[in-house]
Amino acid sequence: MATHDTDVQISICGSAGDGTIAAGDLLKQAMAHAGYRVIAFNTYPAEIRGFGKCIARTRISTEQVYSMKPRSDVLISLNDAHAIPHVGEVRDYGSVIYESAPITRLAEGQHISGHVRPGQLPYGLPLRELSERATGSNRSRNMVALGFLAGLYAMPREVFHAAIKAKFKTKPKAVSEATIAAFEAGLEVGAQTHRFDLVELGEPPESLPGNVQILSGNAAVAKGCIEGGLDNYFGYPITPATTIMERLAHDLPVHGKRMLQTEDEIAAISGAVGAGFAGARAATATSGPGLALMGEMLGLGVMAEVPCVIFVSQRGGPSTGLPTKTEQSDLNIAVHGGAGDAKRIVLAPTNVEGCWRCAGKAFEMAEAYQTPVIVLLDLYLSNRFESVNFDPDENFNLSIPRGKPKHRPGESFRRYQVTDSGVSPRSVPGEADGLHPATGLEHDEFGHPSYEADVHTAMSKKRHDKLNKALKHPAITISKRFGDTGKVDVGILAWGSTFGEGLEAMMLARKEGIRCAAMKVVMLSPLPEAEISAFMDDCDEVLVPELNFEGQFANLVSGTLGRPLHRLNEVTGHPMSVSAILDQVRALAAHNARNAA
Amino acid sequence: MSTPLHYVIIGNGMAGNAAAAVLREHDPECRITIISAGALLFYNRYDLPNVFRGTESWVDLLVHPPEYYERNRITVRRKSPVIDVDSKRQVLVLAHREELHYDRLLLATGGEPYLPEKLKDSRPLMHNFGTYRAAMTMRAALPDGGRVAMLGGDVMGLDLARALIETGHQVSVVTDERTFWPHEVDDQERPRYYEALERMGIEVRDQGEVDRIVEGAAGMPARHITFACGEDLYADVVMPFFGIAPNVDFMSNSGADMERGILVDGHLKSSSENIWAAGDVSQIWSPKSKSYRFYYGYRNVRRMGETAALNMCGEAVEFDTNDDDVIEIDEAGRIQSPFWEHD
Amino acid sequence: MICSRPCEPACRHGWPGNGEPVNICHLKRAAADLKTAGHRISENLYTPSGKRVAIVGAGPAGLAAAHDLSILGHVVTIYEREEVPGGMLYYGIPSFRLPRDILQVEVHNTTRLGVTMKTGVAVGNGENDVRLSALHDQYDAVLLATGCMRAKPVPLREYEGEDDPIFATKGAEYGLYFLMDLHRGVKKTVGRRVAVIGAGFTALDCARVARRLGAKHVSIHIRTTEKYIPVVEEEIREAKREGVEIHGLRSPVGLVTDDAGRLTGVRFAQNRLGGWRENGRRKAIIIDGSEFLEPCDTVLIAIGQDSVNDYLDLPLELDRWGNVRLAENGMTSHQGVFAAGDYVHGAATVVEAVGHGREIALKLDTFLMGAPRRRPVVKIEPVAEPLRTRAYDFIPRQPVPMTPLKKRFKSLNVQVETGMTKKIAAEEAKRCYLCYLKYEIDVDNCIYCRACIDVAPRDCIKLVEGVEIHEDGTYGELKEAREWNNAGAIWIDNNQCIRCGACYTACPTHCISITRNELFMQDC
Repeated sequence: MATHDTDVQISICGSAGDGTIAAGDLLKQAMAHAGYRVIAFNTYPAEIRGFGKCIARTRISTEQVYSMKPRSDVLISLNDAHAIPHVGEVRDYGSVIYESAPITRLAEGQHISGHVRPGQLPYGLPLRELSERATGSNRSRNMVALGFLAGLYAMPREVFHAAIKAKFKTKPKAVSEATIAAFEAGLEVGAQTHRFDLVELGEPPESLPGNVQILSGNAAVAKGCIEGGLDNYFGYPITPATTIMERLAHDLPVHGKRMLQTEDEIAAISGAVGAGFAGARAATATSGPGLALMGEMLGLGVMAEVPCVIFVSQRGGPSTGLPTKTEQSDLNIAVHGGAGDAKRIVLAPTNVEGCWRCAGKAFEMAEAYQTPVIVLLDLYLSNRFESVNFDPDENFNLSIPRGKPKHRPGESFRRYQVTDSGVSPRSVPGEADGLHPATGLEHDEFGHPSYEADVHTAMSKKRHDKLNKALKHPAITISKRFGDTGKVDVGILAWGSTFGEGLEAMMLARKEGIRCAAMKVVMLSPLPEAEISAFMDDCDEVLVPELNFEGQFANLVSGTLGRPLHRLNEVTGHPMSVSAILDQVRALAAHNARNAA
Repeated sequence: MSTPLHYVIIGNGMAGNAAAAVLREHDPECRITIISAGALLFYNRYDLPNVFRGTESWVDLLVHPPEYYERNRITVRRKSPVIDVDSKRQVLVLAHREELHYDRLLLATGGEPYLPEKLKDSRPLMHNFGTYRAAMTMRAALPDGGRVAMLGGDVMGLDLARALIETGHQVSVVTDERTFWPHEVDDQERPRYYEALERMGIEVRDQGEVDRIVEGAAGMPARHITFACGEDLYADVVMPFFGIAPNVDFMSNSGADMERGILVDGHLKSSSENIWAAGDVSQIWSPKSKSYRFYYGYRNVRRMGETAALNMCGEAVEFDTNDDDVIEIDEAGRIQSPFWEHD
Repeated sequence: MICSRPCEPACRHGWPGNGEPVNICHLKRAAADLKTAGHRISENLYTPSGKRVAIVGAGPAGLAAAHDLSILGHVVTIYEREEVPGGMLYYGIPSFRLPRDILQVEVHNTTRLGVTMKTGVAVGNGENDVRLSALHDQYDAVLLATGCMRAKPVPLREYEGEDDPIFATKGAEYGLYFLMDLHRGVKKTVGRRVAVIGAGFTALDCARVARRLGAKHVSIHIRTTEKYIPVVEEEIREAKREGVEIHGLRSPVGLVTDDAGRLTGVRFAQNRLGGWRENGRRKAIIIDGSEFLEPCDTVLIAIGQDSVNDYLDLPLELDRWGNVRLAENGMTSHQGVFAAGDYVHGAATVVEAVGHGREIALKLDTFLMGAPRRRPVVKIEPVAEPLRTRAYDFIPRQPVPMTPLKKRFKSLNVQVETGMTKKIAAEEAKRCYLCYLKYEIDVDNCIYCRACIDVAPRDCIKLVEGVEIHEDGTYGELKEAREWNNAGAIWIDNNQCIRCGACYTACPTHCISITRNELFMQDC
């Protein structure tokens, strides 16, 4: 293997049942443990049974990257009918790997070899026959293909063997042995195949200190929950948040904690609010439609100043929408949803590591600021795998002080005492001298219902002001600027998973000579106005790319700051492409240049 | 509005690509598909000796960049050997069981290096040169200044020999009746031509039949040839250069007449409806020699491809069979063959 | 092995996409070669019938008929003109292809059943010959199996003489007579450059014999192209390896001799390919003005063989090619006179002659006994498991051990194909798909889970809307279903099935059954 920079994206496309996703899993595990930086994303069909299209894409690099590439370097087809539309995804001088000996006669155009572009290199091998020879059945075609890939590009076989053994460690030994046999059958062919393509897989970078894991956004959320001291989880399954619940269902009991699957989202949020009121760290996870149902109880949490955490992984909407496609269209309800002025903290991580950190921090903030905290992910981020180097010394604060009540003799506990910070002392049920009513009705400092004008005004102010402290919450980046410092032609202002593409677009724009910077905004509510404003001061033009139709974040920013900006909105169900953002940046820079001239 | 005609060309060499260019020029609407058994786009085989003059990557050998095919809407199907042609239904079957319908078919499959039966057992010890991959493999097997033993010594081998000698390697030609193929040099003239080879720096081994070819012993060059007369020859690489035998196996059900190649008339049309043949695979009727003949070399092959294409479009162009490409010895006493000329 | 093995192109393992056929020919030879030293062939005999049969000709057809007729209880006498029995097996095929001791054993396996072999006795109209009419009187039936032992003459349009140019020219000979003389013990020689004209087994044999007799340069010249040579690929390949060149598209037009009358070359004209013949061969059309000279000092003509009828003294109806015409019951136009082999069908192959001999023997038996005594039946019985594994399908066709080229030319008796060892034969035998097994899905018990389709190695299990059923109950075309909703059944397509057993093993409801279907002869 050569020693220059590696940035190779491998796409495996097949029909449900072909083992497409399984092959992708083994590939990313193996590559992450070989030392590469890995980012991966799978596309699933929406149906449970049937023969829908699955695509597993894995990007392997030596430098840190932030998004999937719009063009892959290698395409492996396990099912030509599904893979043919994706041949154009492979770059010039990249490879297309496919079955060379199908068992049925094919009409013209039904075999992928006829669609390989002139600039691409074809590699066919008899996957089915090799699988049969190695294992006696044709079920392991995916492993033969994976082995071929490993042989063709001289990938170290040991990491694949280890990943296979790890995957099947609870099954009889024969299973991993047969799988390895199929892999080796493909590898042998690959190693002897003369390679004509120009895809270069170099040595992995020096190993990083710390604890490298490859995990998805949802897995990172679950990890953050456990490390963040989650006590009680209440959940109702919904794509794409379900795997959070599945993981916690396994992990919480191991740590002596509890999980309850409820009958619907309303029960789930009710449970979380109730548990939070009782003093536990509580959470639920859902998607847009579920969050819509949670509105009323969310409001109760805000009004009664009860800590709880809601993870929302956005998908295509509205209504049932596109359950297996990604979108960023729930910002509005995350930030504004529910009746009344029910402001709450909303965090939106931009990568898998951020998912972990925001999860853990959400519990801190929920308790510190006595409010529901919504952590906003999206399907892409939930299901995207990245290799993350976790710092073993980074821990979450498991006990936030609740404040000592200033107790006047003869007085009840002032749960909602108006303080400078806006955060009141908090008691939990069972504590001596802590008894107080908690209600969704507007209330005085003692918690008794009150409709007085000055009470509602003061309480509204308190509930809003206290959240500003969150802007300074320790050990979490709520916004950050990258790229050129000082004045720039174009600034990219992005949130959630789209920030990754925005960052890469910025780097490419700078290479083209455009003065460009990017800012990620992690805390959407309260909005870091000062930082965003300062950023916009430096930018001649500001571009806000996001995956929703009207520009929900753009509306939030321009509504709050009253400043002009440009929108780039897409609702394709797919992550935004770097080139789409880059094109806009170029157009704005050119426009800018013409105006200046 | 009529459906555009589908022209299919089997073979991705000089003849096939020359034909494709003419077809596209003549009929902007038609579909053109080139079918190749190999993995690469068209590169000039006659340039392969350049791997000894600095060419590293096959990308440098390409005659047209990938965009050319996209721009001209020429589909190049690679790794798709044809296993059958049904000329009645006008359908061809690819090895991966896909069936293609054609309106007009051009066979331009060229040929494989011919190897006499008695040498077939020694094939694993030999190196070929006619493809990029074979050329790179052979180059890797030849140490700096190493020796190549060329069995036979056809014009392609002699062309390579020039490049090898130029770059400091050694060449021995083991003569045979096919030396100088496709030129015919009769026995009286041979000594003169062998001397010309020697003047070029080639060692001529005119020692009769080869008995055995084996791996050299440890410490010796990799190949050891023994002649029936008892003489020896050691070389690092042994290469057969006995000329070309056409690739026609897949055509056995096609109904097109074949002898060693596809038999065609002066318009390069075969005996089968809608099937033409051009290049090293075609045996063209020559009224002058009253037999079916092959025509080799870059210029001929290119001309054949162009002629066949024009005829496939409805023209009636004769392939000029009068040229007899002769091998000569120039004033400097070196061999010159018209087959070495190419752009 | 000399057999033209028509069974191998039919073998399912050689169908398109399945690979190479099973090497049935060599497996049968291996079964014979590898039997233990004390092996005895046991054959069930019928009671003696009291009937007597005369067979004219001890070639493959005659020997095969004699064997079967003996088993059926008849007393058989063979009249053979040559000194050694075997016909083409002895006189036409060289010993390096068919060793003489093997032939002897095969002849003995026939004669030991009580067949009387009269060699050196000609049936004909000559002074010392036995009359056919006499045989007809003395025996209850006569079988004519005299083959095609006359070489076809070659038309040479440049030859102006009256007599046969081949007989008249020193250095020219008919291939068949050349081989017959050689096998009669006559010392035969050839020159340095030998041209063989013809495209059949005899021509190939002549060429390979010529190489062994010391010819330096041997070439075969054919009128059409190599593709149309009716000889098995292995023979052509070995001939080429032994140095024989094959040149196509030429017809001989004349012989050239020197002043002493010795052959110096053959004049050929170029051919073009013409239309198609019935037997799949091509017509060749001479191109005028294309003549050229092929220098040679020996020419062997082997363009075909004809039957001979001049030995008959009974009137027999002939067809338009001069071959005897047979009725449905195997009899010629003369009561009690039967015929079999090349004599009936024209020069063909050994296996066809053997097959025809056996077929006519049965018909002859019916004639003698008044009613048919044996008939073919199909036996169907259930089988409990697949009897083979899929892994066997990947075994490549095993190469047959051959004598190395260098050793072959030591004498004419060095056998070229030395035959399979036990190990090789066992490997090759595994390749048989066991096509007598039939796999069938019981539609009533199938739950449409498609597990069988998932594991099928070919496109052999299909979703069908229905199956055509003919009047006689046999299955016809499958009407495949494109949509799940239209599927009436999951069906095994027997044309594609390779009997690998994967579906049987995968089926969760065990609704797939296996039966063995065999054809054999049974007493009526």
